[in-house]
Amino acid sequence: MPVKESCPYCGEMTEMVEVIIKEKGKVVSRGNWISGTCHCGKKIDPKTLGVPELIEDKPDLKAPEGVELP
Amino acid sequence: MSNPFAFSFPGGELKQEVTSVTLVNNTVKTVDVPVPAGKKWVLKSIKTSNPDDVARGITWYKYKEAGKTNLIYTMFVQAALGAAGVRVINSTMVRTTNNDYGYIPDEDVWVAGNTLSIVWAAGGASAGGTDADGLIIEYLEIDA
Repeated sequence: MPVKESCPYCGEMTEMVEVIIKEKGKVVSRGNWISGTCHCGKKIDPKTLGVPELIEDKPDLKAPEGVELP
Repeated sequence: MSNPFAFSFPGGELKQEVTSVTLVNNTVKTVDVPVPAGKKWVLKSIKTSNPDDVARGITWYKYKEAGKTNLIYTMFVQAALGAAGVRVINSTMVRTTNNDYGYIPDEDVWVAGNTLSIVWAAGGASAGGTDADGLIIEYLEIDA
């Protein structure tokens, strides 16, 4: 059974991909798991996962109703 | 000539699983590692990192099956692992530094289907981050 991770796009669990290294047909390394493509169709690629730009709300410069201005 | 320094593992074959961990801005992350069919594990150590730039709470669970219907027990709870922090849990010794603490009893046998589930809580607005070896599990594996 493969390792699974949660998909940041759909929120469901999806299978990760095991990296198997072979030399001359013989497995020399396995047990390394990396992110793959979720069943929702989105690729969980750390390089392309965007970070939403944090935009501060503009302060309301208008005085509230009832305030007397000098 | 026999090798007087040869090691044998009558308790199973030592294995190491390395898993990449990608955390996204203010999003919960879950990684599930199930014991394969026909195998039994004795966990030896778990290394978990937080590759984000904000603190993240992390919880380690042991479930009876891959579907995570029955929680056997909650293994450990880390309230807030600092940005770029690492926590190591092992069965050989109890460490003393803040993030290197935890003990796995040797008699904690995992059977086929049992699932180690690790949850990184959302940590608020952040840059996110990836660690290619963010989760490393060492265990002895034997055929069931």
